[in-house]
Amino acid sequence: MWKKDEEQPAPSNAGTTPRTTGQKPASGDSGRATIGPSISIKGDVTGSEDLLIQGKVDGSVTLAQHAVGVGSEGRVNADILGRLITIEGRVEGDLTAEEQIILRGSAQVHGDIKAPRVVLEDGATFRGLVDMGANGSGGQTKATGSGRASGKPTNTSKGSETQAGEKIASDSNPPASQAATSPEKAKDASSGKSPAKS
Amino acid sequence: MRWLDRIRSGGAVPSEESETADAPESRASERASPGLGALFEGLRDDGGHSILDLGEGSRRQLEMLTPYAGVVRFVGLVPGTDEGSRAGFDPEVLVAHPGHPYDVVLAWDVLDRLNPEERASLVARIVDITGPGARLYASVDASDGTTRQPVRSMLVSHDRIAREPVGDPEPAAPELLPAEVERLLRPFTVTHAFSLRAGAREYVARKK
Repeated sequence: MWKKDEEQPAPSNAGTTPRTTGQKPASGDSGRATIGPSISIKGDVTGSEDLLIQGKVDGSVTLAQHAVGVGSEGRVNADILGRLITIEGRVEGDLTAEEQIILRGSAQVHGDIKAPRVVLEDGATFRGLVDMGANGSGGQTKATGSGRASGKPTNTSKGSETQAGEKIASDSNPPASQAATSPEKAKDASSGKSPAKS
Repeated sequence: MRWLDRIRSGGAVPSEESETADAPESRASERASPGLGALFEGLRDDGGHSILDLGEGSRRQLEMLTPYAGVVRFVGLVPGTDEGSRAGFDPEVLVAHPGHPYDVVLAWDVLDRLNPEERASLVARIVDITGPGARLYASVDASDGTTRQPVRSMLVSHDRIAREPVGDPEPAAPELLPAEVERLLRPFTVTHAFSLRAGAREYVARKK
């Protein structure tokens, strides 16, 4: 059921540090176990070494002090608890990590994520809750790819025509000092028609 | 404010609707979103918000939203793009967050793709799981036609979104007129409404 790296080099390094084939783990250092693509497990997976899942797991995965990886071929229907969790395959279940969770570009995750640090790569799809601390103070998000977040927005949409189209209503409950205007009374800048009469 | 954007971007100002340079598909496009601009203006960037995004989680979404919220839920509620949603909208997929009622809701092209009963059910569920004064952003497709191309919307910046086609065109749901939106959103006060040349309408509202 369990295949050590020494026996079969894993096709993915998700969630674990790569090790040369045949290399023995250092004294006191636990090795990495691999659940191969043809392996299917139903039940709870626990242990004291890093784990790479390329097969199918239904149940739970609890390796609190270790890295857990779900490779691109991995299909996991289980909650995963680990120190560092890296996902390349498909997971239905909650992910909880003490340090970091990484969703690679091929990852498909449906479940809640809880970790101080969460990394989503371009292409990863995710449905669920991201919790990096209730007030966000301890959380940190890292996104890899070409895009980047811009800073706090400035007022570009109030009180005048925007580049996107016609502003047909102004703020009737303004967050800052702004005049109240009913959306129904506001005129479409281009057509002169009330938006409520379309 | 094009001059301001030009200064910020070092001279290049994106048009209202343009091809997205780094979009995963060539058919993806980008457009301005004054509604999002209005929404973000009212948010604190101290991570104290609790955000419910009815769209799917992506790198950009998370990157943009996490400065505002320690808790973000992505629902992936895009009717018609997977088997579950084709079976009908189930309000229970909108899970409440214990202890942190959502105070910001992003509803991307959802209302216009549900039937009237599902629209009312969705809004009622949103009311149930949000706190007082919660902000709602909703965009609806206002284009004509008997079919509609489902799209996945993603934040590009605080006032621009990328739209990526997903799946095949589907029969258009009954048109959602502005007056009907106002009726649907009665538990909220609509503070901003925008009609865009790109064939969409955007609403920003606050829960009463």
